Amino acid sequence: MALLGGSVCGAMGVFVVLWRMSLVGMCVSHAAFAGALLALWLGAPPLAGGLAASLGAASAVGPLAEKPGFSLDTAMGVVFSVVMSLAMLALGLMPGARTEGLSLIWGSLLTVTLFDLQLMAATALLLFGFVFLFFKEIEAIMGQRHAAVAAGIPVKGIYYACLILMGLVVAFALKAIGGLLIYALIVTPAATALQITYRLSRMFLLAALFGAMASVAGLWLSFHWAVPPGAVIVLVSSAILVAAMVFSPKKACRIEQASPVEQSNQG
Amino acid sequence: MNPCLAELRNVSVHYGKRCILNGINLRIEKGDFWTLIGPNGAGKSTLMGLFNGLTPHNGGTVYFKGKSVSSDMLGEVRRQVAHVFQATDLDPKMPLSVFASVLSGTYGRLGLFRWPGKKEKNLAMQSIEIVGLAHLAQRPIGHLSGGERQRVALARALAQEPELLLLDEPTAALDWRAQRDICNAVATLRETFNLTVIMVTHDLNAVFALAQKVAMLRAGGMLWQGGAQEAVNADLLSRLYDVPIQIAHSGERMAALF
Repeated sequence: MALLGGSVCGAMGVFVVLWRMSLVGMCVSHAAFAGALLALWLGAPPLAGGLAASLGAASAVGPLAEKPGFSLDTAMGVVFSVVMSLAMLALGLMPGARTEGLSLIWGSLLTVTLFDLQLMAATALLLFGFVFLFFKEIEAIMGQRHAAVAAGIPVKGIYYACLILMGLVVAFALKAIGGLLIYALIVTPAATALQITYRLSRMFLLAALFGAMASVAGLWLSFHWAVPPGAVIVLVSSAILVAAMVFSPKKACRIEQASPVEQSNQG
Repeated sequence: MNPCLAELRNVSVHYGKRCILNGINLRIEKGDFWTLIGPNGAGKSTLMGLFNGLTPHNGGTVYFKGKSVSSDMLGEVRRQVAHVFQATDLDPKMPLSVFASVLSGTYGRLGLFRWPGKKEKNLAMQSIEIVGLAHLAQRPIGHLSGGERQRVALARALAQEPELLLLDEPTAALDWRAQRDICNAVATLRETFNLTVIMVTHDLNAVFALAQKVAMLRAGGMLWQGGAQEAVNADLLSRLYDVPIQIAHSGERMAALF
């Protein structure tokens, strides 16, 4: 599960980082968290609650993000506050020891069932199949979205499919990684891969690899130190990001290329 | 008279109660080079977006190749109309090469579930050569200057093999040399491929140098349209921009002074 969940979250993060969907991604992942806690409080399966909330949030924030002249920053800030309040409210109202509820905050890879694993495997197949089938469209949209729309590429369809996939990834990885930290595992490996490569295909592979590495290493450390795995996974992932930023080949590359570009401007 | 490629007939655009364009008529013939000029907020970019359906209209009819542009034929129209936008900032770390960016111009025509082959790759490389960036083909696009990035956008538009090329302020925020490079590249493309071009610009000198026909927009209405030679009129331009404008002559070249 650590390998699978880490790689799926990492690959998902490529969309979040390159399409600048950070706020949207944060809202979807925290909505899943709130949905799972509310379901738990109501006595329903948390997986179903998380799935419904994340898919609901994904389909609600998509049209909001498209609205011209709409302040997405502000709207996402409000939505984020509301879903976090709902999550805390559900946790507060929960009777008893709240062990299951608390485990949704920090995550618990050790309680993952075979069914959870099968769901995550199916999501991984969907995500990597999506990337393979629509790779050229994903590349065309990156950094030149208006031009892609104008060229007749179905940008909206691909964007919405991506939001739905994010909803699925978050809902199915929630139990293992935890609601507070899953978003970090989505963004950090992709941000790490961005420090290293200029090729999109490699960025997907590296992000998946860094996600899997952080999950396995984090799980191993959390087992030995007897601490929540989600927190350790995210800290390991962040450490890899810092190392990648320090040793990024892109830093040297940009310094070297600065002079020829300058010359071509002048000459 | 050349055959008509696109036409706006009595087109109006409203955003809520606000009228952006009102009763616009414009006929674009094959091979024309139109420039749209006017003050900020006049509706130039909105008008340009009518030709590929990026701007939804509330009244009148937009025609492309004789057919009324409706929502169900937007994909077909967009594959034949290339649109170059103003230069925007890009992350220098963006994992996208100049070649990959230009190649993406072929993807609209290629359609879903089909991968670019030799034909598309050759087309992309030729487009890069035409805009003079062959030596930068493998460079990450985020490393280019604003002017070079606009030439990449032109190459991407060219790789689309369009019937109509829309240029939305392609020289905005660029230095003099980059502006000249873009203007030269546009002129070369037009001559080589007999492209039909509509360009929105604030650069009157580019209008005088490049355009055959000029449409002047003011407050959502068409103030004037006609030949480029007749558009070089100090009174008309002064009325358009609401500032006194003079025309200076230097040899065969003309320049607007304000």
